[in-house]
Amino acid sequence: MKITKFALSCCLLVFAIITIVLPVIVSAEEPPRNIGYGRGGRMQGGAVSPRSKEPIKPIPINFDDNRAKTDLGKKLFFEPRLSKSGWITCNSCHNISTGGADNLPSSIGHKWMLGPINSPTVLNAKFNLAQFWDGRAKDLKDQAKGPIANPMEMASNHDLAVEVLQSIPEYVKEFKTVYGSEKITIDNVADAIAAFEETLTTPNSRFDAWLNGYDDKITAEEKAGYDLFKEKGCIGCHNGFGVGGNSFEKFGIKKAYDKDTQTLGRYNVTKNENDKYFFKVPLLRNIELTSPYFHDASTWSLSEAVNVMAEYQLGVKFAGDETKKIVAFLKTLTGDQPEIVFPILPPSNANTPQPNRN
Amino acid sequence: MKIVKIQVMCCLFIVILIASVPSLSFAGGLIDMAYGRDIKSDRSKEPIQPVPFSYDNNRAKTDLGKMLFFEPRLSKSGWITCNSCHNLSTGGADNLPTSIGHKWMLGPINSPTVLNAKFNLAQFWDGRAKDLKEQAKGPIANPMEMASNHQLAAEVLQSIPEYAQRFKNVYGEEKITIDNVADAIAAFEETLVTPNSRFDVWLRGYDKITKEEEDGYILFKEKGCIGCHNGFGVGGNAFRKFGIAKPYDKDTQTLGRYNVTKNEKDKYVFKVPLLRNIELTAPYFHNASTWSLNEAVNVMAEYQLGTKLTDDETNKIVAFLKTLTGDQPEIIFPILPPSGEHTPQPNRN
Repeated sequence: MKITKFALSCCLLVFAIITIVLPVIVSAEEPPRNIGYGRGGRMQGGAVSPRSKEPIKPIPINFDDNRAKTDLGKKLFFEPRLSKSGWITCNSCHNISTGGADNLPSSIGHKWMLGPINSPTVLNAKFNLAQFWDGRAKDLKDQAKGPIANPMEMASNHDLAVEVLQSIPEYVKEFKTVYGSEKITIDNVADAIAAFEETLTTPNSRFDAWLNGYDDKITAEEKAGYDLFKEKGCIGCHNGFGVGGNSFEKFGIKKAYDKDTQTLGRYNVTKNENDKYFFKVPLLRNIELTSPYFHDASTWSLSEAVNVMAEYQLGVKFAGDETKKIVAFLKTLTGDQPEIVFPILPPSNANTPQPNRN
Repeated sequence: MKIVKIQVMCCLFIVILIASVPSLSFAGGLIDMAYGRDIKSDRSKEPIQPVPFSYDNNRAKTDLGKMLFFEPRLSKSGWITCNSCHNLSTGGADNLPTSIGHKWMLGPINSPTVLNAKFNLAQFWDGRAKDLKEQAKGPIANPMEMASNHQLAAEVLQSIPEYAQRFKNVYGEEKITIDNVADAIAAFEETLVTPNSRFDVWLRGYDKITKEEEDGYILFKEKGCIGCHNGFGVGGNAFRKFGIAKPYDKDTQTLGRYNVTKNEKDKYVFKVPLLRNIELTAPYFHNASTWSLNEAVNVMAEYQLGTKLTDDETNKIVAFLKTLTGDQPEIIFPILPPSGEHTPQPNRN
């Protein structure tokens, strides 16, 4: 009996080792991840720092992605065959190498057509209350359908885009895995792209680390800039996870904005006279990476952009020192840029519609 | 005693389990690695050689080169990169008849793949660049491609402190020269090889290809394709006339090697393209005259070998060609430093 008991406990022990110790050891061999402060996704839920009540919130970290879907979405984000020419991708205008935008006054599209407005960053875009400057898309999924069919951008159409993907067996298989059906729809295409874009957040900025209680992560000058940012009233619009993206506001609250009176903004969506020159408040995360600034790209200088905001939105004039401090603060909002393994796309075949550069 | 014995055995078992964990978790990797070693097989004498692995990269240089390869500010518009026409997502080429450049100008010739390009005896279809470094300078300053110029490109980079620092680390000085820009890009491009194709595995002695694919390879040799398409790149080792057996009548405008040598005999002579990853890089030939690999094989038979293949032969050769697709480079998309106040602004016009 004793032997049996012992054998049994041995078995149990072995079982315990396999289920508990083994995974730990195996995972211990993975390279250390570059996450430190941001473990925050969970830590933030419980941990209370004296700064939890600040009007800017640290970017949460998600670990619960549907990997099959986001991988598919990544392929589509980099898929030139979603454009008529077979050359333009989502990344062409929302370049993840350069802050999620193209850093041009307005985007270049099919046949080198120039768009009417500055391309907003895709980074942290999920924190926007709606998408596009005028908020005409309610979410990322809705947004993703736009450029594919816009004749000045990717210049394809939804039927053609789907037909191209449907002709490629590897895509069919991936859509089947993710959506349960081999029939590819533009809805699912947009859904997968949106799912990928939702992963494009930039946690771990120095400012977020400070918010999480690490004092020495920002300098006295940067902290002074943050205090000014609140005192002067910038925080009224630029707050929350994205430091913006939570409301539509008029460009020209204190003084009519005279540099661009052509772009009507939110009015185009609502046709409400009161919405003329209203725009979605842009995110200030990673702002140092995404010049030129404003919907009309009217300045390449972050200092000048801050001064324009002071003049037209707050009706004040900053001292040179104040602008400098606020800019110093804004640069602490640059977080970890997404680490993207460049996707390998499956080849076209005889059934795939050919690209058309004209 | 018996209990002690069992105890000892249990302990031993546990020790073995723990010790075997690392090998368990690496088992997958080990198998992959094995092909990379120099294993002598009876196929060592075949006229195609497996793509070798190289582990001796200068990481600081290739990382810098990767940034530059994806750097839109090397173009006048701030929008076009090396990757625009040599897309690492799609076989290292743009899969267009000819490339789109500045202001949507269309280039005169099909963009060759950057993958395995280091195995070419020279670069460009006409071989006008002797190596990747010399090649890299071309498109930056070509008004139909990136449309910048060497001075402007260097000035843009010089204005960005992170680049100045990186060039200093790699080349010992903060002054950025177009020569060093091209050198770094070339160093990155040299890492863009595609080892571990099923055919390479077969060459190393593992029976990784089917009977049909092997038949295709035998035909590839018997019919004479191998005369030009051989070596590491399955091409890239010679310049050959397009139209050896029959004058090529679909494009008589593109003179090829003649443009470089001005030698009458070099008219219609081109660098033999690499056949590695060929299934990924339609359309085919310098003039992109076909999107079908089958048709491309038949055109080669007709104009270069003066024979006609049966459908079965063509199918087999195509099946073989598809075994040449190797591991595509795994590239972490680089994050580029922002422009500074003094950085020349992009110009879309």
